[in-house]
Amino acid sequence: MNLSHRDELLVQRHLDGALSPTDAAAFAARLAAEPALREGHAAANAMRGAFAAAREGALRPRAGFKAAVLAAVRQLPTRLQLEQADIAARTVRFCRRLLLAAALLGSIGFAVGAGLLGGGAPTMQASPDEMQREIDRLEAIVRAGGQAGGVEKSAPRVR
Amino acid sequence: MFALHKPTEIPDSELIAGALQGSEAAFGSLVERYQDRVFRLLGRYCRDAVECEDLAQDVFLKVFRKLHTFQGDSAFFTWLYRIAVNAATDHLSRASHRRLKLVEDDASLDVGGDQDEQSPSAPLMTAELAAVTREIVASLPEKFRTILILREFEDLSYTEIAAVLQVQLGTVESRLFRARQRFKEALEREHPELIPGRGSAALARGGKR
Repeated sequence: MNLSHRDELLVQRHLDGALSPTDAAAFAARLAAEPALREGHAAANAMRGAFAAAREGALRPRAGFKAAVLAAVRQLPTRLQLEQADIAARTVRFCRRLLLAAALLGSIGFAVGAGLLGGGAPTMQASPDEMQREIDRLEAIVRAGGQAGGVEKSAPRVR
Repeated sequence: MFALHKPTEIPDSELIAGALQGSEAAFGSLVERYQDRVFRLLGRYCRDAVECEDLAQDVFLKVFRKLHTFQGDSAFFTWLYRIAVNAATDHLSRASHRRLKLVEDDASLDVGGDQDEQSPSAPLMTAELAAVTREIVASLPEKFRTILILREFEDLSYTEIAAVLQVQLGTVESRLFRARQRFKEALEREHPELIPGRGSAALARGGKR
């Protein structure tokens, strides 16, 4: 049985009850017509049996649990104090993040200013103007060399 | 899927409003209404009654402390589940690995002893399968474990899981798929005798809800 990933997801959605009624009807029609899909569906459905078996045996609260929670709640500060503490905590968190962001930006700015991030460092790249000047210089050298050795070059040596 | 209370019961929103105004009875009603579910969920993470009760109490205290931040844009139970899942996963990360391992080993040893002494039968197979399933689920990475617990044990819909975990629906679907794949691979690797078509009748039961 080799289902495509798309069909495997479709099987999952069907077994989880996540298909719309229209899609579920279309899937049911495919199930009736396609043995491979039917086989994959049955295998996935059987695998759910493992979870169904493990669903039993959940823990339950003891009789006095609610009373214990309420007793613990009574030890807490008042609602107003809790809300104020929450606002204070959020303000502190916000300020801490703000400071962190400022410190980070400051560090980046300092690093750029000091040339640590390559801002002021010399590079191997030349500007188009520099390149043109260099080409002109080399051509001038070639021309000068051509003129100096022009006779020698134009007259082939005969041995 | 989650008919949390009968129509004649006081709605959650009224109980929350009452609790926010200082009514202990209102908060007590919320605790009473959800304590079974919270225990069931937390029990999937700790499986020790004392540990579970401590954790459940922490969850309800946190609910009380944070109740004023509940916006009401999602169901109260998804908010409560989010707190419970976060508490459980925090607890897991804090708890010593050794202690958790001991709890799991005890559970699996009990089942193994029964199997050795008696010939296979349907109830034993189901018990073995249940223990093995819990063991494998407990061994999965936290995000796979949690999504399997919410879907397979708590019966939450994709939408509800997305609300609890605060992720997209597509993430729920793909994570659930990968979690089931991991579970299946582990079952095939460690207990191939329990795979459907290899002599297990237990798996064939109760698959689809």
